[in-house]
Amino acid sequence: MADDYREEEIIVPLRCPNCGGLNPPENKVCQLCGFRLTGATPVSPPGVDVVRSGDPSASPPAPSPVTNIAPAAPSIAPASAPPTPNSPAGRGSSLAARLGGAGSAAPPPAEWLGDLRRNIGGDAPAVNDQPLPPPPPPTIAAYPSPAARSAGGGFSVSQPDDQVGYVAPPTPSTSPYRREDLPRPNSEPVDWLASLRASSSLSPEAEQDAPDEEEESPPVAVPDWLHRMRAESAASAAVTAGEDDVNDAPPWLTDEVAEDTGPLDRADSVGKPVPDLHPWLHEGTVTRGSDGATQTDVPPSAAQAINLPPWLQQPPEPAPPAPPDFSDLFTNRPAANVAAAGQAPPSTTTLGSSGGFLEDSDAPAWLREVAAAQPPPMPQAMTAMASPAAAEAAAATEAGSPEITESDALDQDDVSAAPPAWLSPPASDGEDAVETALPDESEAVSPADEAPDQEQAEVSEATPTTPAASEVVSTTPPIATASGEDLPPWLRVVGGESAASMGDSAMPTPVVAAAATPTTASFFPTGNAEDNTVPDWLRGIGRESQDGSPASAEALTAAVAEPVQHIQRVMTVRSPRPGAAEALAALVAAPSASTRTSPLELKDERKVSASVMRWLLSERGIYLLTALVMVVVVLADRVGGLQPLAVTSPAANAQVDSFYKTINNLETQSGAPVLVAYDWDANRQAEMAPLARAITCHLGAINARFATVSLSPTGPAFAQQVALATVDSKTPCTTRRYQYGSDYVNLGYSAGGDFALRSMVGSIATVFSNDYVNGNPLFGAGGVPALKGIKSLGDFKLIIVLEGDESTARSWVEQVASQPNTPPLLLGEPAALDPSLQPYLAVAAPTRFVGKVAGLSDVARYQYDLTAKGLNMAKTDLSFNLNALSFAALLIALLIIIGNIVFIARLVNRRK
Amino acid sequence: MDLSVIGTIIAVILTLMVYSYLIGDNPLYRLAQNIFVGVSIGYITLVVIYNVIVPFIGRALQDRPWLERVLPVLALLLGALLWYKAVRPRNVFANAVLAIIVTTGAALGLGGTLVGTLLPQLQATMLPFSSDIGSIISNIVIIVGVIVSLGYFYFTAKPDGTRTVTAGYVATAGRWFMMVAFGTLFGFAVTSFFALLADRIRFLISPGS
Repeated sequence: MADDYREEEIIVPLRCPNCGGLNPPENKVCQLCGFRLTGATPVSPPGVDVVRSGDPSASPPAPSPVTNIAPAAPSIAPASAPPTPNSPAGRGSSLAARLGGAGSAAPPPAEWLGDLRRNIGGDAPAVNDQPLPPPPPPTIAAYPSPAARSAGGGFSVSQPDDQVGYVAPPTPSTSPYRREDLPRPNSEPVDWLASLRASSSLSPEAEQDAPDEEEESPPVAVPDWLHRMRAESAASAAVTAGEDDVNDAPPWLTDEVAEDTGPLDRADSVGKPVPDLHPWLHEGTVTRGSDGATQTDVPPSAAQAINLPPWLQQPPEPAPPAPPDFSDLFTNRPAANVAAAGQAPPSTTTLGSSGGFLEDSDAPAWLREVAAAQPPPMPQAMTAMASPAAAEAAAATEAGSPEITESDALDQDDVSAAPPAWLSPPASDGEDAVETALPDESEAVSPADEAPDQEQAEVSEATPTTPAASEVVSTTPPIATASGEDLPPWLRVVGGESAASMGDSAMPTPVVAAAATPTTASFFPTGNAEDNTVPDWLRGIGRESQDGSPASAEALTAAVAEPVQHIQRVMTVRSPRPGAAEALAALVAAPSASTRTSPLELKDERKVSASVMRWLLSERGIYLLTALVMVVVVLADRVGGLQPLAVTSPAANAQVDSFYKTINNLETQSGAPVLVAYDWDANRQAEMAPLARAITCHLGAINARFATVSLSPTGPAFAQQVALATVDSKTPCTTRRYQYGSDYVNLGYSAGGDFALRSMVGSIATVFSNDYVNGNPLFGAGGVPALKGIKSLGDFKLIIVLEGDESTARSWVEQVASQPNTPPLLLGEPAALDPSLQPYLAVAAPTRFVGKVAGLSDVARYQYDLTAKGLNMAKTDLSFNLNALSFAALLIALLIIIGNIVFIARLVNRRK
Repeated sequence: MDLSVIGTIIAVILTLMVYSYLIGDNPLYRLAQNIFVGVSIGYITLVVIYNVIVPFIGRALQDRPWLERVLPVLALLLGALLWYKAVRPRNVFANAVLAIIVTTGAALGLGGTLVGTLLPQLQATMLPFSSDIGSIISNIVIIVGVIVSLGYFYFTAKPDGTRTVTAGYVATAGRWFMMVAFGTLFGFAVTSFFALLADRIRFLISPGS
C-alpha cells in the first residue's frame, strides 16, 4: 500500500524540445519559452524527485519567492534499470547532476523510500528512536500528478525524511521506483487502488468485502497504532449516511482511478488533452470553508488582480458536483485509511486536533511531539472566512492542539512542524462534510465566494503555485531573498498589497508563496527568524521544531540552505514572453501558405527561370535557334523571295581549282578509267552527296568510265544512289546516259582497310571478284567492260577519294599514294576533316592529294566551275543548303561576339 | 503507293523523331536511335555476307589454279579460328591468328606511316622562304607553331622541379597554338553539322527533292 502510494506521487515533467526546460506534465506549452509540448519527452519519473503535498514544506509559504525550490542538490530516486542518457533514469540522473553539486552525493532516495516502506509496515515508531543519519540534501520538487496531489501529494521540495525524523536511512533493495513495479500503459493496470481500498476500507463492510486482498498482501507487521487508526477510520466511515457503495473510495475517486490506471499514468498520458487549468492549481488551493465545504483559494479575479502571468490566469473549469468531504478522515481516521482514500486529501488539510490517534499512547512519540507543537495563529481573515467547523479548528489550533498535515499522517514518513491552524480542516464533520470538502480540481479553481478576494488571493499564494517555480533553483540563499528583493516586480506588488491588506496579521507573506513552492528550507526561516517577512506562526513552528522535533529546525534549515549556496547553476524561470499568445493567434489566423507565395515557391520560380535560361543558352538552345533560322532561310529560298547568298560567284580556291583541272584533264583521254572511293557514311551525306554528284557529272561530262569502291559498308549504296541520280538516270546531268557495267561499275565494299588498299595496289582481283549490283565477275572472260585493262590501282588514271573519316583518308595516302606507280589522288572531304587532312595535301610532296574539295563552300566553287563548263547542276540543291549554312554561320558568329562581349564585360566588372 | 513515297514518309518521321532531342531526351529520340542502329547493323551484316564471305567461298569453288582456291579457304579457316576468342580467349589458335593480324597490320602501318605521314610531315615543315611575303609569313607561322607545339610536351625539368623561362614561354605559345588548332577543328565540325542540319531541313520542307 505504501508502495502504491509512493508510486502515485511520481511525476513526469516534460522536457521542452525547444528550450530543454522542465514543465509539468499538464502543461500544453512550455512555460519557459511557450513552445508547444505535444510529443515532448517526459523526463524520468524515477529521476525526478517525489513530492507529497503532505510535506510540511508544501503548505506554508516560503519566505523567499526565488529560492523556493530545491535549496540543495536533488535526491534522485534511482531506477531499477541502469540509467542511460536516454532513459528516464538517466535523464533524471543527469538532471540531478546538473542541479547537484553536493547533492549528487546524497544517498539514493529509493533507499530511504524502501526504509520508509518497512517502517510503515511495522516499524514506523522506531524511526524516531533511531539516531538521525546525516541529513541528505533536500530534493528538487517535482511536479506531482493531480492524482498524487489529490492523494496528498503536493508540490514542494521533499525534505530528506530522516532529517525531519520521518524515515529511516534508505535501503536500495526496496526502491519504489522500479519500473517493473509500475503500471504500464498497455498492460493490465495494476490494481494499486484495490490494495488501497482493501487496507483502508471506510466501513467494516468494506473490510469484509476485501479480505482476499489483505490476505494476499504481503505480511507486513502493522503497528497497533496504525490498526487503531484504521479502526477509527472505519468507524467514522460507518456513520456515513446513504453510502451504498462499499468501496473505499468515493465515486469521484473511482472515476479518477479509472482514468489513471497507475501512478505513472500521468507520465504516460503526456500529450493527452489536459484541463485548461493547471492541476496544481486544483489542489493545494483548497481550503475548508466555514461550512465545511471545500473552497477555492484562488479566485480568478484575485489572480488577475495581482497581475499574474497569463498562464496563471487561465479560466477555471466549470465546477463539477461537489465531492465528498473527507474532513473526518483527516481528523479522526487513521492515516492508513486516509491514504486509502486515494487522492482525496488536500495538502492544506490537517489531522484533527480533537484527539484521535495522536492522543493515543501507541502513537509514535515523534508524532505526538509534533502534535504538541504550538501551531501558528490563524490569520484573522482566514478565521472569518472559515466555517464554524473551521473556527473550531482554528480554536483548537490556537489552543495548541498538535496538528499534522493530512498527508503526513497518510505517509507516516513526512512528519514535520504542523502547518498553521488556518489551514487545518475542521473536526469531524461527518459524511456531508467529507463529500463537500473533498478537493475537486474544477472546484478548486472555481471562484470561491466565501472568502474575500484578498484573502483568497493570499491563500492561493500560500499554496504551491507554478510548476516552473518549483523547478527554480537559485544560488541565492533562501534567507537572503526572504525579503523579496529579488522578486520580480509583479510579485513585489503582490507582496506589498498583501502586506497592506493583512496588516499585522500573522498571515504569511503571500509574495513569498506566490511564486515559489515552499521548501523546507524556506519553511524554517531559522537563521533569519527575526526577519519581518517571516510570519510569527512560521517562527513558532521553527521554534517548535527546534524544541520538539527530532531535528532542529534551525540546523535543518542551515543544512538545507548550505547546499543551496553551492548550486551554481540556476534554472531561471522566465515569464511568458509578452505577446506570445497574440503572436500565436495571429499565426493561426494568418492566411494559409497556399494563398501566399512562400520563399520556397519563389525559389522554385527562380529555378524554373534559371533552368529555362540555362536551356536556351546551352548548346541545345543554340542548335534550336540555328535550326529555326535555317528553316526560315530554306522556306524563303524555296518560295523564291530570298536568295541573298546564291551561288553566283564563290571565292576562288586553289585546291578546288586543282581538283577541277585534274579531272578535266582526263577529257582528252576518252574512256580513261577513274576510281572513285566512297568512304563516307550517312552522317556526311549533307556535304558529300552534292560533291559526289558533282564529281559523277563531271566524269560523265568528260566521258570517263569509272569504278566505285568503298571501305565503308554503306559506301556502295551511296555510290549506286549517286550514279543513278546523275549519269544513270533518265535525265542525266551529262549528254548521255551511262550504262552500268560498261560505263561504270560498283565494286562494292572491301573489308580490311589498309590491307585491302595495299592488296588493291597489287591486284584488285584479290579483293574484289564480283560487282556489287549484279554479282557478276569483274575480271576474266566474263568481266565487266568498265574494268577492262584494270588489274591494280596503278591501272587507273585517277583516284578520287571521297572521305568521311580522317583515318581512312590517311590510309589512302599511306598505303596508296606513297606507293610507286600510283595515279594522282584527289580528296573530297567534309569541312570537319579539312584541318586534319591539310598536311596530306600535295603542296610540296607529289605523293599526296593533289587537290581537295572540303565542305559545301568548296563544292559550291566546284559546281560553279562545272556550271561554267556547261553542266546542269541545278538539281543538286546546293544553293538551298549553302544559304542556310551561311545564315547559320552568321548566327553563330553573332552569338560568339555576344558571348565575348558579355565575358569581357563581366571580367571588367569583376576587376572593378 | 510507291515504295519511295513510303520510304520518304518514314524518313521524315524518323528525322523528326531524331530532332526531338532538341527539346530533350525522350522516347521518340531513343526509338529512332535504336532503329538507326538496328538497320545499320543489319545492312552491314548483309553487305559483309554477300560482298565479302560469299565471294570468298565462290572464289574457292571456281575453276581457278589450286593456289587461288586454297588461299580463300585458308583465309576463311583462319577467320573461323578467331571465334575461339569468344569461347576461350587464351586459345592458342585464336592467338596465332590474332598475332598474324597484329603483326601484319603493324608492319603495314609502320611502313605506310613512315612513308606516307612522318616523312611528308617533316618535309612539309621544311618550307622555303623564297616565295612571296605572304607565303614566307605563312611558312614561318607553320614552323614556329610546330616547334612550340612540340615544346609544350617537353616535360623535362631541372632537379628543383622548375624549368627554364624559355621552356615556359615555348610551352605557353604551344598551348595557344593548339588551342587555335582545336578551335578550328571544332568550328569546322560545327560547320559540317550545320550543313547536315540544313540538308535535313531542306528534306523536311521538300521531301521529294
